Amino acid sequence: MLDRVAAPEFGTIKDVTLMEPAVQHLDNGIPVFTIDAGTQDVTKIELVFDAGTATADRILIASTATRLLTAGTSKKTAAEIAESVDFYGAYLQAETSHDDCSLNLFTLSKHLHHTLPVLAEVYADAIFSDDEIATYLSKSKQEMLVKQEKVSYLGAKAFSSALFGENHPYGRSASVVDYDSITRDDVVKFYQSHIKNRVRHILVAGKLNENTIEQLNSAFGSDSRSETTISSIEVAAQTSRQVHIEKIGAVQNSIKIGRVLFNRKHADFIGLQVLVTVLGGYFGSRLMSNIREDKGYTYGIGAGLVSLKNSGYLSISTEVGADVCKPAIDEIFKEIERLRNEPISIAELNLVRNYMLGSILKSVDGPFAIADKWNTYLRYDLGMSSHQNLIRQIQTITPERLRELAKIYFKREDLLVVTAGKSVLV
Amino acid sequence: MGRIDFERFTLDNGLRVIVHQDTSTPLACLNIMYDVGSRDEDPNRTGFAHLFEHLMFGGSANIPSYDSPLQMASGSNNAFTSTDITNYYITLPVENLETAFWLESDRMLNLAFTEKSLEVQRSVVIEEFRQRYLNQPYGDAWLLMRPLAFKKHPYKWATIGKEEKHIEEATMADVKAFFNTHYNPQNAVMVVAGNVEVSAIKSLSEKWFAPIIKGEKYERKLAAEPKQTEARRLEVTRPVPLNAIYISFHMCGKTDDDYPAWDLLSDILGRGESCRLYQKLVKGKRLFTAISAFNMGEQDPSLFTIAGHISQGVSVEEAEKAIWEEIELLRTKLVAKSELEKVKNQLEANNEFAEMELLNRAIGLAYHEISGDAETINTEMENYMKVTRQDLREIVTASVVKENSSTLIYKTETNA
Repeated sequence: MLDRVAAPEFGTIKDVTLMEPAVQHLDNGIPVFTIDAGTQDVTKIELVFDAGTATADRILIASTATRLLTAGTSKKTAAEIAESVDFYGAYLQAETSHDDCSLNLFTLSKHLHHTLPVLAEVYADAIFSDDEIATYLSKSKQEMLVKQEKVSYLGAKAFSSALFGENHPYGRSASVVDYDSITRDDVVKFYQSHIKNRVRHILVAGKLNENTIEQLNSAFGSDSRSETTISSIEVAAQTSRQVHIEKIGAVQNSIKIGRVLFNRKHADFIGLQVLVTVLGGYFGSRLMSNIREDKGYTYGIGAGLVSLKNSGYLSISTEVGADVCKPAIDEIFKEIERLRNEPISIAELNLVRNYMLGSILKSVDGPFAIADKWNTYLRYDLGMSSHQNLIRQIQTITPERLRELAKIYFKREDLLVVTAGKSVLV
Repeated sequence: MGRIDFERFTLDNGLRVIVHQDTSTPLACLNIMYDVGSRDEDPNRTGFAHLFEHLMFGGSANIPSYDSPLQMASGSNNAFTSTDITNYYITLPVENLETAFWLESDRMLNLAFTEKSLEVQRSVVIEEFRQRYLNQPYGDAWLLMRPLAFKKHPYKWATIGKEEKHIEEATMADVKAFFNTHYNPQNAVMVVAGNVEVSAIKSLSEKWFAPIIKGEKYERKLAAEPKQTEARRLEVTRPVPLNAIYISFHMCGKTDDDYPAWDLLSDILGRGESCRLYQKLVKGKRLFTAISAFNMGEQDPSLFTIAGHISQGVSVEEAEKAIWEEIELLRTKLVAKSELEKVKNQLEANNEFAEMELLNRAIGLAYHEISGDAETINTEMENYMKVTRQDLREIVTASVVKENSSTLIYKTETNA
């Protein structure tokens, strides 16, 4: 008779192999990290720049410059650039984060000789016409009005501003009026000082053609190269503890709870990652079990650690029925207190370890995923030993240590609570 | 284009099993697709297929918690419901694959329904309803458009359900009846993908799934949608910052011979920055801040839609007229050869990117098998390649016309 009650035997993950990239340098010294792997005939080329939103003097400059790289060169209009990429089924996209920006080309490997020149052209010869800038800003400004109708957006904006300060490079966010103050000069200056001839490194991933590196060298290897000087960003202690943004007619409230911490180079980062996973990092987490699966207050709740180049923060985030906002906040704090007062059971910790190792295994499956992982490590000048340290710490951290971390970092008085939606008394 | 190789077999109880081997990954996927979606619901009990998907995680006959043992085995899972199907998937290290067989077979065998679980999931789904459909600008677009465009066919309600009330009223008796009707081996397709051998998957399938009783085969009998003969229109006022327009047209179902032409038509209008609507109406005339063209990809005859947010200072009439001018252009002038070639190239590349993910291949195989034959995952591209410029003009001429259209307008409260 088949035993359906007992779980079948299973193994625990002993190690997660992370493929090491091949490192080469173009003639001008730009380092190229290559992950040649996978089953599909695709290539991703990622140019990385120290040109995140926090590196610009004012809000919107970095994102506008990055987004408009593909909006025209001295030889091609925006429409011609789009056509020359779309025709081959490729994607040419810029992505901006707080600390850096990336210009990405996704292409079938067989079309790389057609699509790579377009990437090279926009990188070296973007012209930022007044007309393109005006169209983009007016469109973005109006789409911003749409975003402002979402409590999750209002909450996120108030949260970063309360964490870092509303004028801080990590805390500021655009208001509708900011779209009116961006000039072509701002954008061009930023491009000249942060993007053009400023590639920090290139990541190449996929099932690659033999001559990919030579192609990259002719595209990017001959220009002189300058390094972008990035001044380090000071983070002051956060002062506010509670912020509410009123949104008339909301049927749900956004709740964000967190605090400023540090980035992944800090000795306690991985331990906190485990702790935050226990709290709200997976479907079976304490917050999901309590607030969704027991109380039915929300469709979802999560907690995570965000690492920035010069800082980092904890973020607990959910949207709950406006009428249950207060009980939901109380339950979140109850779960946080429980982490401080009771050690996590070995059974629960083992489950979280296994779950985390499984998701790390998934996060390095396939060439694009491996390249993304390396990009994260490279941003912090970290290497293979950090990956190994991550695995080892997940496998060995103790309930006592996790409780200590909760006591140090999850004090109620250090945590900021932001709500957006219908007014609520905490 | 790489072929997706697979083998198939069927258990005595009717469960179809597909095995797809990929030796390049340490992970395996187990995907089970049930041939039931919101189109199979009682019109007075809508949102049920999706609510049921939530209840599937509430524990089964022999296993009180579905998630914990899976997380313990380093796995993760999720599920989704559409108008047509309900799909459950697990990803985990291939060595632990048997855990997935154990969990999925037990919940196909029988659920451990509890009142508490039903009550909690009713609230969770109502919060999902609010979060995704009510508390978002334009979030109720499909709650409005579906009943405008469909008068008989069950696509007239969205998968989330017509209203919160239907979800609140779901009873334990409804839940059990739904399980018995739809959740049996004959109505499911299982795909196992990863570095696996067919023989091993055969034994695991026999061991865990063969003992499940066959159950009744569900015969789908849905009301056909009568041909639309005159233009329909609905205008609503909402606290949204920009006016918006949605125009939907009845089109064929996903397995119809005409489907590839519809798919390519939506790409010509709406895919990528070089597409017609973006270049002409967002960039050129600046009438819209965002615009898209898409079809729902549903199995029964469904909808092709053009939707956009109208720029401030532009009248709804002007924006609407511009969309119809683009349609007129497609009717009077064949698209350029290179334009058709472009969207075919985009499709080829997109498939290649999507198929990097093992899970996407597993879901694709299951979907094609449920729709008739898994092998069509490898042959459908040929049908796209055969589409001609004349084919596009024909579908536009026949179907992208006023009398086949349903128009939904959102007006901001200030200019109402």
